[in-house]
Amino acid sequence: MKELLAARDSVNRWMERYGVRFGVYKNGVFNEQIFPFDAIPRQIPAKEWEMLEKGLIQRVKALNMFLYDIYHEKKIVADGVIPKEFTYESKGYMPECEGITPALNVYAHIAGIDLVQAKDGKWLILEDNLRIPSGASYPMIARKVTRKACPQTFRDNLIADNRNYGMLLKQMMDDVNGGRGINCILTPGRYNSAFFEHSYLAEKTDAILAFPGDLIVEDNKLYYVGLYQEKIRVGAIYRRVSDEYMDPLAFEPSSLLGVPNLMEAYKAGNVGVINAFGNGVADDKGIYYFVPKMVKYYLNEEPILENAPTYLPFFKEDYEYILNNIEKLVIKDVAEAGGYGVMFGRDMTPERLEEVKQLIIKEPRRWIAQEVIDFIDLDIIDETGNPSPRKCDLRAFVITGKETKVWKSGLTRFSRNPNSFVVNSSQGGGFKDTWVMEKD
Amino acid sequence: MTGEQRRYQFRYMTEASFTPAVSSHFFKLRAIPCLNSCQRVESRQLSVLPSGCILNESTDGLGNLLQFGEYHSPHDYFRMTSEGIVCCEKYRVIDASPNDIYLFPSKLTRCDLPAQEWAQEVTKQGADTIGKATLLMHAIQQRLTYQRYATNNATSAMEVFERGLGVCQDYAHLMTALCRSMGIRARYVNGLVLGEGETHAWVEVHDGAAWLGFDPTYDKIIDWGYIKIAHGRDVSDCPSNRGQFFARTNIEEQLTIICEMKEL
Repeated sequence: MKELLAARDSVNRWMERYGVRFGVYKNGVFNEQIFPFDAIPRQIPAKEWEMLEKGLIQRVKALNMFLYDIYHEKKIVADGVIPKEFTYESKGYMPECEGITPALNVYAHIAGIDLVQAKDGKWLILEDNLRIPSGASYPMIARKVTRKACPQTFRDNLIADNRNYGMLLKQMMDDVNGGRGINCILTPGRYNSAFFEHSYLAEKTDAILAFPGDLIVEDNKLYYVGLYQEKIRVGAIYRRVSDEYMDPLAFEPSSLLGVPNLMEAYKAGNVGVINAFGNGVADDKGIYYFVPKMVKYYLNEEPILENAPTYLPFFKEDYEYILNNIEKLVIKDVAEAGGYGVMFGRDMTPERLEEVKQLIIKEPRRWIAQEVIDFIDLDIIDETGNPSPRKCDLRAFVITGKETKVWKSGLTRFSRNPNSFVVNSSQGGGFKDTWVMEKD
Repeated sequence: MTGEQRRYQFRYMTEASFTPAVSSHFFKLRAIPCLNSCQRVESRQLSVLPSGCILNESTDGLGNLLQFGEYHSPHDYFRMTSEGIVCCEKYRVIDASPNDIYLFPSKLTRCDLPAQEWAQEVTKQGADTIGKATLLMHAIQQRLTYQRYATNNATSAMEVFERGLGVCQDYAHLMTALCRSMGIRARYVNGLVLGEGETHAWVEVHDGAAWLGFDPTYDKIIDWGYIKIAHGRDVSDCPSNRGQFFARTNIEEQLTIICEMKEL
């Protein structure tokens, strides 16, 4: 570990050379920032990881079963486990997806599950990201660079090798593809906040990096148009563009990022779309509350991983609790992501608290409230070169093709300021490598 | 179908002309009468020009028939013609397990509190779902004035409620939104109607066993003379014609729509 800290400067130089960046829009201006890397890794003991792995696989299986159910028989709604309001009123629910069965019945091929570890050691799920979760490339490249800077650290410690993420993705893409054509990663372009990642993952999975305009649907099949206008059949597309922009004839008519009639080719089973369309209904912050119930309902198992304590103002009991305890809760807008629309009761003035209460009274379905979890601090090396504690979370990547597997690593993010609980990269935090240990 | 039947012949044509010519044109159409318990399609034909367009058929998530395809060479017009013969019974679409999505607001059919209260007020004499829907339809007829070009495809039910102007689509959106705000399943429908030269929009309300047709534009419970094409939560779920093409400059586009329908 000492060597690793000593090699900090050369690690950071390498990272800069690789261009590990994150794009941020602020007040309409696009800025590309270096995503700050901290050299002290998070270590997860083998036993703990084993439990996490089981819990994550269980959760993602249930979420995929929920997505299938919601776009087909809707048994979970009929059986009263989830109220209708939380599915059909969700912004992520897409009636266009009704009745479509994706290859292998899988919707969330890449799930980014955010967890925190409470001070008592217990891991809690904060949110499920089932649309286009980003962030895997950062720990991939950090590991590559730290291995280069201090090979010894990785010889002396029993750290699970995480260089297989590209292979995990490729295997999944091949499973979804089923031999129909090439694999392709669609990026909205270089002004997307995760463009670095799109190009890096294309390289690691041996897929073609496609830009809007490179893809075309002809006679209900998807093609990549090459340099010489040759058309190459695409069997699976890992798209890093949101659902609503993917097909101007099915969704947002003004989109120029999408491929006209892609939805039809997908519906006909002529191309696999990774992740599937319509997943937003399952990673809605309101649906999150019901995920442990889904585990019981679909798998008939007890959930291994718990949610952070959450209240829905939709339910009368919770509604009263929230209004009476708002000053100690976190209030989240179900429609927002990336750390936007998150409000801490304790930071608000009495007038603001009253305003938020009124918002909740007006639209109870739009909000959830959570207890503030006192999650653990991990040390980082701050600007002065000294260890300093920061709140950290973990995004675990769960890949589902024919099988569901958890990548033995993850993205550990830390908050920019010592007293902040918000760790989203779009809010200016940094990241660490995540070591899954082979032994306790 | 066992009851009284009436047969209608129809022809629905849209033509878009482009100056200058366009290429790589993709389209998606909902232009063929649907099949249900009170409507049988005896014959139908959908043709598109220029000849050589690739045409495929499928069904959308809400059960509507779709035709889609593309045409790559340069062309200065695109014409779709749908024609055939439909045999109808009195309008009543049997559906024992209606989809719950028609209970909830969509983008264009959200409903605010004043509108909701207005709907409650004007329907308080209604004894049941159909009674309430009928009173609501009468009240909408009183409240709105039919006026072209006052609204567009993105006008929401609440804008219509406040401004009081619109065309059949707006009447249908408002009625759909208000029904749902009272817990009544309602959906937006487009199709053809006897005696009109263009497509029409109306509302279906579920009475527990079947969808009944209400035409708020004409303040009328639908019995005969309507050919249903597609339905959805609002118009954006079931547009009759959507397309995208590529061109090097600004394109001037002219649209002609002709609908003909007669009883045989």
